[in-house]
Amino acid sequence: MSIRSQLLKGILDGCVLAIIEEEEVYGYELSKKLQSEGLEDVSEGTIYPVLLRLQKNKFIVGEMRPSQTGPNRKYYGITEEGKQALEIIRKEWNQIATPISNILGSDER
Amino acid sequence: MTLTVKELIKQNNEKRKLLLPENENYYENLLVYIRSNLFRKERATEEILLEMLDHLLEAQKEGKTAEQVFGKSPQQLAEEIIESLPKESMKEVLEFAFENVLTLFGWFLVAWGFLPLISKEEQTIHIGTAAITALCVAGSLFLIVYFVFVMLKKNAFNRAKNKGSVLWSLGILIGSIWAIVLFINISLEPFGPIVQINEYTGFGLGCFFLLAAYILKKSREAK
Repeated sequence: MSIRSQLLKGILDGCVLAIIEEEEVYGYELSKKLQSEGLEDVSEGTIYPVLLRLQKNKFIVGEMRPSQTGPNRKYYGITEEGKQALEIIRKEWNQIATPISNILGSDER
Repeated sequence: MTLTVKELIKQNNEKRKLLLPENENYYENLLVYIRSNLFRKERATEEILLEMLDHLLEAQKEGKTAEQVFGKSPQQLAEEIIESLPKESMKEVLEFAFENVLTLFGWFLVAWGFLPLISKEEQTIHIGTAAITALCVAGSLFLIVYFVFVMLKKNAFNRAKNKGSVLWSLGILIGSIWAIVLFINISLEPFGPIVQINEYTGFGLGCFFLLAAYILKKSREAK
């Protein structure tokens, strides 16, 4: 596993939750959204363990229903617990994001 | 609407035919590896497998390969998925085991009771010997199932050319287990209390076991 994907793994849960909070998505849609945000080298398959983990923690729920194009898809929506967890993740991220990018970020210092 | 586990498996079988050979091979290995874990909820397992198949089919339309979609280390992904799947409850595991034991003894009794049914002969049973035979048969079954699953898991991501030799070694293993069971059976002096049963009992009991197992199976699949 590359350093980049190791770094990502921990925060991917938060990113997936944030996308699902915005609107209900199915697996393929979710990976497209992550990619369009620039996370291109996250292999699409890695979202599935994340989705399972989030369901196990009751942060999201999956529901099978027909999609616009026809076939049944499992759509994921966020729960109250999921929203609370996302709040915590956001707070924690904000606390570490600036110091870390200060430490790692600038060559000029 | 909710699909039953059986319908999920059926859909998976049909949709898999739409995969290109290379993607099919990759996906099937993943599927075998994930399915060969007995103690995860069957429904959740089949749902995630179907979801991933749908995903792969959409990606295939865009010209992507399974390796591009699910990464270069399918085994690692499979492990992560298994780890994240909800566990099967002990009750369900026991029910499943019970169903299989019933099926096994059902067939065994049907086969064993078929001859007396035709020749209309009464059967003499030594309870002690019969109990040992039953234990041997059940024990060997569990051993065989265990080895099959271990081999499935171990070889899921092997290249196709090795799969023949895996089948052979499994065949030899199963053969020798049965040979030992048979040997124990033959070399055992009849002992224990003697019971006389009429010509219908063995066959009838076997049919009853099979029917009970069938009903259990149907109710499990309907969940």
